[in-house]
Amino acid sequence: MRGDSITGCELISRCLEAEGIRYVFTAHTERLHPLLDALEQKGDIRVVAARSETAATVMADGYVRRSRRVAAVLTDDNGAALSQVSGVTNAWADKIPLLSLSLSADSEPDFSKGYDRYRFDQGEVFQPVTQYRSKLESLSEAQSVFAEAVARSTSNKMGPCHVDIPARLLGETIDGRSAPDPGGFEERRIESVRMCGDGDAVERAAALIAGAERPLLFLGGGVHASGAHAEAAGLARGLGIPVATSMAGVGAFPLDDPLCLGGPSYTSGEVFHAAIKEADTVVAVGVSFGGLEGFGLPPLWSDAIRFIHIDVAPLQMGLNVHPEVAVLGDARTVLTQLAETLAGRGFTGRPEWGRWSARLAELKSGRARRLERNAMRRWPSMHQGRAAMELGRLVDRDDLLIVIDGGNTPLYATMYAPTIKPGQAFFPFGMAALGGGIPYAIGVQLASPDRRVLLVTGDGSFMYNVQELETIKRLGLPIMIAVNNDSAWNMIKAMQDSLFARNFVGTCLPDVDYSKIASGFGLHAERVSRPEEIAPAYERAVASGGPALIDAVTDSTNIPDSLLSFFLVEFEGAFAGISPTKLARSLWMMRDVGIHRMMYMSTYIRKALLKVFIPSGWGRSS
Amino acid sequence: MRYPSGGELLVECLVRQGVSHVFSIIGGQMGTIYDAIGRSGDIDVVTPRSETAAALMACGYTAASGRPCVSMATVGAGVVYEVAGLSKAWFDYLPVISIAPQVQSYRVKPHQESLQACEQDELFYPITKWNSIVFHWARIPQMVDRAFREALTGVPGPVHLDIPVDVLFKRSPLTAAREQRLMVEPGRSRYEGSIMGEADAAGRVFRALSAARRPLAVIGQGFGRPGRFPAAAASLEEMGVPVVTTVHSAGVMPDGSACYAGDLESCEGLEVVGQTDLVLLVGIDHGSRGFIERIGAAVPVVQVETDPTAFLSGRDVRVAVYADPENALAGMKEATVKADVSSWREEFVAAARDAADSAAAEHQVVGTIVDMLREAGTGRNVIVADGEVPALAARRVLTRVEHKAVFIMDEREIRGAGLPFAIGAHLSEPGDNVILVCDKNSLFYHVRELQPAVCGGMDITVICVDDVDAETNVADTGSVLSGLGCDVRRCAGGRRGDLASCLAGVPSAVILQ
Repeated sequence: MRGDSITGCELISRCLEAEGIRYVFTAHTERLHPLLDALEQKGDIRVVAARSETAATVMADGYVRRSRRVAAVLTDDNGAALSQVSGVTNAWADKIPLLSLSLSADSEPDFSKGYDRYRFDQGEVFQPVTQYRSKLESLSEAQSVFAEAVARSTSNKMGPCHVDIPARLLGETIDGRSAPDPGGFEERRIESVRMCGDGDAVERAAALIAGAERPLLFLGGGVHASGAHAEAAGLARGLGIPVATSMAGVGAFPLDDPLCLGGPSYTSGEVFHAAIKEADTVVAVGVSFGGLEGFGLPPLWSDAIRFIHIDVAPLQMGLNVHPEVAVLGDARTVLTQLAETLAGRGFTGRPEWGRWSARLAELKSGRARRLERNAMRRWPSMHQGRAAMELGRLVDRDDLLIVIDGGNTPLYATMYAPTIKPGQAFFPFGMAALGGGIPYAIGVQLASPDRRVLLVTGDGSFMYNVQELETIKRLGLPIMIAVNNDSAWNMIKAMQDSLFARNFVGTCLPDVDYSKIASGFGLHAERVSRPEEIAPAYERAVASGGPALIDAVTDSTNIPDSLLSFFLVEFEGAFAGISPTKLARSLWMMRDVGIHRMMYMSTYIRKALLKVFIPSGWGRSS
Repeated sequence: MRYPSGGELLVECLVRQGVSHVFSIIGGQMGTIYDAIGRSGDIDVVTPRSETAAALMACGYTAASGRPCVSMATVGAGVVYEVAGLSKAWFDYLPVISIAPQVQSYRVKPHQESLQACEQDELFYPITKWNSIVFHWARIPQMVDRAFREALTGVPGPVHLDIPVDVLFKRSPLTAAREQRLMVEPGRSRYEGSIMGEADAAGRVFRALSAARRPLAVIGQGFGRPGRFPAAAASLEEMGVPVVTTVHSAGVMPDGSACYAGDLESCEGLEVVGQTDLVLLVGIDHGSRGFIERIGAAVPVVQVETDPTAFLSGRDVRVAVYADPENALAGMKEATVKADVSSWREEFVAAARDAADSAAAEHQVVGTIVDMLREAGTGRNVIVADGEVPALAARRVLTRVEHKAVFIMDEREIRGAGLPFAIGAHLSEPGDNVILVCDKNSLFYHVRELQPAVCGGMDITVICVDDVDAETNVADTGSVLSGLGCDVRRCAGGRRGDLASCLAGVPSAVILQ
C-alpha cells in the first residue's frame, strides 16, 4: 500500500494534467518548488516562470486568449496571491477562463480581523472577480475541486476561477489510486457549447430584420469566443447590413470592409454615433451592454431601437438593454439559423438599406480623411496617429499578431491602423487596466510560436511590467515592442486641459529614453522621433531576429477627438460640478457626438441657465 | 459662501488630518481631487509607475515617519493593482489610508457593467481594518475622520474609502455654519490621549517581575514605529531586561543599547531562550506570538496592549495590561532594578548576538555588507533589507552598526517590496541616507521605480547581492540599472570604499557579485 502513496504535489500535478492544463505560469518561491518540480515532471506541462506574480497571471491570460485553451497561474500565498488580483480581474471583465491557484495559510481565517494579520481570508479577495472560488480542504477532494473549477471557468459566461491550496497539503500523502492516472489527457480546449437558438425566436428575429428600415449588426466578444466571424460576415454581406463592434468585439469583422463602421465610440467616433442614433433595429451578437458601449441606452443610443439580442448566457439578457427578441444560443449556430431562415423566406435585404449603409460609409470615409489630414499636419513632434499609420502598414505586410496596451495608444492604433483581421489583435479592455502589455505579449507569443508578436503600448503602460523584458530574453521570444512615448498620462491630461484650467497635476511624465531601458535588458532597441524613421527602425528590429523595441517620441498636445462619449457615460451625473463654459468648449472640441453636438450643448446650456441663481459657486474651479 | 466639489472637500479634510504626501497614479474620476491638490499646495503627489508600488511607497513612508499618508488609485483598473501593495500595510500594521473613486453612486452595489467597475470595496475588505463607500457629499468629512480613527486606534492598519465620481464632482454650498458642523477640529475626531491602564495592574506587574530571575522583553508591533512612544525605549533600557524585536519593531531600540539582543529570528532555538522564566510582551504580532508559543506554556507572560482585543487567548497571561507602552513600562522600572537581572541580560544578549553572527557567517557577502554599512555609518542611515541574505545582514546591523532605522521586508508577506518601500522612506525624510540592501530577484519586482527615483533626483543607494544563476535571471543587473539611469559600481570582492562614495547624489547602486 505504501508504495502506492503519492504526495500532495504529485496529486495536484496529476489533477491539473487530467484537466488538460498544459501551461502553468508562476513566480518562484522556495515553498512552491516541490509542486513546480512535480508539474515539470509531467512531460506535457510546461512551467513558465515570470519575474512577478502580477505578470505571471497576465501571461496565463494572454496564453488563453490566443490558444483558446485553459491555462493556470500558480503562486505562493499572502501578497503573492493578492498580486494575481489585477490579472484575474482583467480576465473576469473580459470573460477569460483562467485557473488561478495559490498556496494559502493552513489555519482558519480570523474573521474578527484581529492582530494576527496572516489569518485573513485570502480567497475572499477573489470572490467578486471570479466565477467560482474554493479552498482545498483535503487531498481527497483535489480531483473534484479542480474539475469543478475548470468546468465552471469554461461554461456559460466564461471567466476565471480561484482555488486556494493550504501549504500543508503539499507535503501530505494519499493513496495513489485516488488520483487520476498519469498521462494520456488531451489539452483542454475551450469549446463553445453549440447551443442552437429557439426556432420561434429565430423566426421573430428574422421577421424583425426583414421589416427594419435601418438595421445594424453589433458584434461583441461572443463572436470571437464562438468563432462566428465567417457567419457574421456572411449575414452582413449577404444582406448589406452595416456592422459595428463593441470594444471586446474589435476585429470580429474586418475593419477595412466597406460595411464596417468600426469599434464603439472611442475608435470610430461620429460614424458609430450616427449609426446608434439612426438605427431602428440592432442585432447584437455576444455583447454585454456595459459602460464602454454606452449601456445600449440614451443619451448615446436612440431609445426607439428594437434590439435582437443573441447571447449564450441568459444572465446577459435584459441587462441594461431590453430586447424585443432574445435568442439564447451560440453565436455561430444562431447566426447560421438566422441566415437560413432569411434565405428560406427568399429575403436578400431591402433597397433602402443600401442608402443607409452608403451614408454611413460616407461618414466613415469623411472621418478617415479628417483623421489623416490631422495626422499629416505639422505637429511639434510626431503625431501619434502618424506613427500608428506607419506601423500599421508594416504589421499588415508581415502578418504579425498585435497586443495593444495603454490609454490613448489603443485608440490611435485602432483609428489609424484599420486593417486588423479577425483574431489578429489582442486588446484586453474589460477593466481598461494599463500595463499588461508585456506579459500579454509573452502569453500570446508562447501560444503561437510560428507568428511574431508586436506589442503596441503607451509609455505609461510600458513600465508596469518592464521587469518581464528579462523573461522575454530568457525564453528567447522574438517579441517586438513599439512604445508610443508622449511623456504623459495623456488621456487624463486632456481632461485637465479642458475642464481644470490646465492645472496639470500628476499627468506629466518625464522625457524618458525607453530604448536605453530596453537595451539594459539586452534587447535590440532604438529611439525614433520622425515618421520616416519608423520603417527603417522596424526593418532593423525584424533583422535583429530577437526581441526588439522602438521608442517612438510622439506629440503630447494632440488627443483623440472621440472621447466625449466616454465622458458622457462615465461622468453622467457629475456634470453639475463642471463649469458650463468649459463643458461647452469640450463638447465643441470633441467630434464624436457629431451632428448631435448642438443638441447636447443646448441641453447643458439650458441646465446651466437653470442654475444661474447660484451666485458664485462656479468661479471656484477656474 | 463656498461651493467646494467633493474632491476639494476631501483634500481639505486630508490636509486637516496632516497628510502631506499622496502616492497615486491619476484616473479621470479623480479629476477634482487632483485639481484641488494642485491648487491647495499643501500636498505632494508622488507618481510611481504602478499602483502596487504606490501602496508600497505609502507603507515605507508611514513606517519610517510614523505619519499616516494616502495611497490613491483610480476606479477598477488602478485599485486591482493597489490591493497587493496595500496588503503590506495590513501585514505590517501600518495606518495607510487608501482612497479610490468609484463609478456613479447609483451604478454601484451591485455594479451595472460600467467600464472599469467591479465590487471593488469587497476586494479591500479582507485586507483593511475598515472600508466603506461614501455615498453623499456631506459625509466626506465624517468618513475621512472615521477612516483615520479606524486606522490609528488600537492595533493600527490600513483602511479604504471608495468615493463615487458623482460625489467627487458634486458642488454643494458650504456656509461657515455648515463648515463648522461638518469639519471637526483636528484632534477631536479620535482619541489621541494616553492609555493609562488599570489602577491595580501595576502591583501585579511588580510582583510578577520581581519574582522573575530571567525575564525577557519581546517587543512586537504595538511598540510603534519611530516617534509613537519615544519614552518607552528609554524605560526598557532602564529596566535592564534583555530585549528582542520582531520585523515590525526592528530598530526601535537604540543601536548602542546594552539590553538589545536583536531580532527574535536570530534567537530562535537558543538555549538561553529556554531558560526564560517570564516574558514581557509589548504589542503582539504574528512573529512574537509564534515565538511565545514555542517558548512553552509554563512560562508566564505579562502582556501590554493598546487594544484589549489583542491579548493572547488560550494561554496563561499572568498580567494583561491595557495601557500604552510608555505608561506601562514607566511603572515597571523599579521591579527589575530590584531583581538585578544584569548577568542574565549579558548572557542572553551575548548568545543572541553570537547567533546572528554565526547565521551571517554562512554567507561571506553578509560580512561585506555589514562592513560597508559600518564604514558608511552615520546616525542618518535608514536601512531597508529585502531578501533572505540581506535580512541576515540587517539582523546583524541592528546591534552592530550605527543607524537611524532598519526595516526588514518579510518575504512571507509580499516579495520585492524593498525598493518602493525605500523610496517612501526617503520621501518621508529626504535628509536621511536610505540604503536598500536586496538580492537580485527582489530588486527586479519593482525595478521600474528606479526611473522616477532617478528623474526625481532621489538620494537612494542600492546594494544588490547578485546571487542568482544566469539561467534563472539572464539580465545583467548592472546594465538594467544603468539603463534606468542609476550610477552603478560593480564590486566583485567587496571593495569597501564603494558605498561611501555612493552616498551622495542621484540613485546609485553597488552590485556585489
